[in-house]
Amino acid sequence: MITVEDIHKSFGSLHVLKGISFDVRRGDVLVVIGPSGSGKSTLLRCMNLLIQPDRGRILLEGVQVNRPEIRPEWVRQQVGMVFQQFNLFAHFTALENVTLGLRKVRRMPSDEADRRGKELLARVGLAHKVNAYPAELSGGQQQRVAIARALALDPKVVLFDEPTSALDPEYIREVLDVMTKLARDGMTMVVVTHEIGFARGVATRALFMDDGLVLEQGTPEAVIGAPRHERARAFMSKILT
Amino acid sequence: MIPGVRRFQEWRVPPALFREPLFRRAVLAAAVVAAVFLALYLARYLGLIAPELWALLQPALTEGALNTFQFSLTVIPIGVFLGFLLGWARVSGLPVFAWPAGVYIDLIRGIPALILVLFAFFAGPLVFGGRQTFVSGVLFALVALAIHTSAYQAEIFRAGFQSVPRGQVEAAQAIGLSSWAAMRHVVLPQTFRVALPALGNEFATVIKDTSLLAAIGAAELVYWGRNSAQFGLFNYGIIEWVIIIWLVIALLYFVITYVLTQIIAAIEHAYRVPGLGTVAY
Repeated sequence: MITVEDIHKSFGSLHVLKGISFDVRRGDVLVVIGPSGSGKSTLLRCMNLLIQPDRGRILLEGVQVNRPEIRPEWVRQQVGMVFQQFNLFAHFTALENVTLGLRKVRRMPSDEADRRGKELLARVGLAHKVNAYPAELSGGQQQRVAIARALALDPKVVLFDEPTSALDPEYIREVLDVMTKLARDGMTMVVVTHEIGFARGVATRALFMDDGLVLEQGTPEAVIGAPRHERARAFMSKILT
Repeated sequence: MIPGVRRFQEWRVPPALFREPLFRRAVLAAAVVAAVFLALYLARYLGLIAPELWALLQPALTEGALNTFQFSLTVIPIGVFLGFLLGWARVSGLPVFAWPAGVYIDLIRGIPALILVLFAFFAGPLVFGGRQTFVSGVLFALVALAIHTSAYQAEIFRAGFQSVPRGQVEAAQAIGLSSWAAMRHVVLPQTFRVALPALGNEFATVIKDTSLLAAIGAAELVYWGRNSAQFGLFNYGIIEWVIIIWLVIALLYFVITYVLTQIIAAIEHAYRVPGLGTVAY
């Protein structure tokens, strides 16, 4: 589905990604764990070309997409993304947030886009908040709208960048429930998270990243429960308390 | 139940149209204009204003007010257009645009508007090869005022652009919108919404800055105020008339500004976003 080959990225003198390789198969739920500053967000942003990697290849269904002749917009239409800070468009209603891509990228007629948007909002349990503005929604509701928005263009894979880190504790559950349902429906997902329960219960594979490198890779149980590297063990012991 | 009483109660509920804030503001603005002119003409009709004083007020009430209104309506759109482009250039992240815009803004804000007006009036036709007529001079002076306000509006628009969180642009790009589409559908609508109150403020300033055109003899309000006051004082020697003339001029400025700020407030209301910086009005 998505293959990452030897990705490097530097910002100035800061070497953030130092050669990352892995691949995500159809239906995989891959969790990426690691301390802050280890390059997890940068990695996700490279995967939908919000950031162009300096070196290495990103392959989407076997096609290298980080090439100058491929428009990044085309790639991003097939790779959804959910952000830590939700990033909903503040001047649009929940429905308009979800349908913007359908209307402006897919050129879908408004009534059809609205119908599809309402379906998606119902899927994340927000059928009753269709006309609410982001500022009128709780953090959990905003993040669920953001998930519906990421699903609008029928992406092949959805990237989650710490989707629950900015949420008040009482809203974390509802967002994880939506993500779990999505995973059960067979969506391919890459999730950067510190939610160990989600990683253990839902993920099919896990990565541990530190300092721009992948240190551990395998089943969630192996990566979280029995890491081989000292750094990974130290990190797990801190977050598993 | 007496039928008449019930009807009275029904009547007391404002009709649906009047509950519309837009409509209410239009009515309010029109009412203020009408009240001021009605009061003046009524005072004249009741003999409270001497015929000589009335004659002195006439040019300001007609030509002066009209010219001030027209000058404002010329300067503001040109100013918004330039200011918007300059503000955009400043946040574009492209030095080729940002740098000249920064120099322009710093330079223009450092020069008194009066000097810009005088300079444009005399040098404009000379430099641009137009005929050295009074009208062409005034047109250049209007452009000078637009340039002056555009420097301030550029900073207002810059603040508007910068108020849109970077994450929303990222989110727009993440669903496959081009950077131009992200700008058009996500950034610009929010830029304008944020900029509006400060723009209204700037427009109110522009209206009063058109008084500087009196310095080049353009027949707007202050020009007629000064003419009538001097003429009146010279011929009739009544100092109170001078005061009344300037009071009326001030009142006319207020009316024009009030109408404009009501229009801005109505636009603000139309573009409000529920839950964001909510002020009930």
